[in-house]
Amino acid sequence: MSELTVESRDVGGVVLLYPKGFINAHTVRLFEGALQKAISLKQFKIVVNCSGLSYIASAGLGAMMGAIEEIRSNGGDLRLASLNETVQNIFDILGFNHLYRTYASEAEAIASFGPAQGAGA
Amino acid sequence: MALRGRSKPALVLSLPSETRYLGLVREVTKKLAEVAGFTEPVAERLSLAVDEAATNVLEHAYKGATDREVELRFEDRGPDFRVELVDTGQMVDPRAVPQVDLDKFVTERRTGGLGMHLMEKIMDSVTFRRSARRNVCALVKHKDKADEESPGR
Repeated sequence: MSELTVESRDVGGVVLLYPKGFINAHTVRLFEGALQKAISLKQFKIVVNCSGLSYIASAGLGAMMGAIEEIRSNGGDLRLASLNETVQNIFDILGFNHLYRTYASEAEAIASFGPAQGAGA
Repeated sequence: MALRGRSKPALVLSLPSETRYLGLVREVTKKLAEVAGFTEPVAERLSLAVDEAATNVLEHAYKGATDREVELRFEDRGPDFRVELVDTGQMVDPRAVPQVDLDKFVTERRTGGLGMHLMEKIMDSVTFRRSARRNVCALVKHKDKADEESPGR
């Protein structure tokens, strides 16, 4: 069984990332790669659906911090949806909820970016 | 037979200095914290702190070298749960890491120091010492207050 997989899909111009497993210093490159791929494709509206994420260490939070300025300076944002209690607690400990918008569901996170642009809405 | 009425014997785990074992470190820590009497949410947080401490050893003391060893000593000391991480790598002073300022993380693209910040938020005590060419990081959590805490302490 893989420790982490990260699938992605595009919904109306919003990139959805689905990390499944845990993110620590061992698995973070995969997560970082998924973020960087979205940025390189100039897809700056990103939702990380955390429903399959069991745990995140500072390495994963660092990956988000390392990407957020470029994302926001290009008019986008990185938002999170469906955090489990463990991951929510880690966010609370760090005060990350002041830095990132979190939503109870993926649909709410997608809708927060406003009306979809282009086809596929 | 001189047990001196103190804590139970320590459980000691030696691991190669590879990040692939960090998941095991987390699982072992969580299990032992639960055995020591912590609730699952608190045990989860303790396992995060130990994961971060072990990650610091691999990244900073051993600088990514994978042929070294990290020793973890878990002790249930009655009122306290104590975890020591011992390495023979380069001496590192984590206190030299600037205090975490989340705004600066965004504007200056800084990503270091979060692990140390998490460790200090989660544990009651985080100390470092150098002894006989070994680095020892000691993490202590008091049991009595653990369940009264909010997630952020």
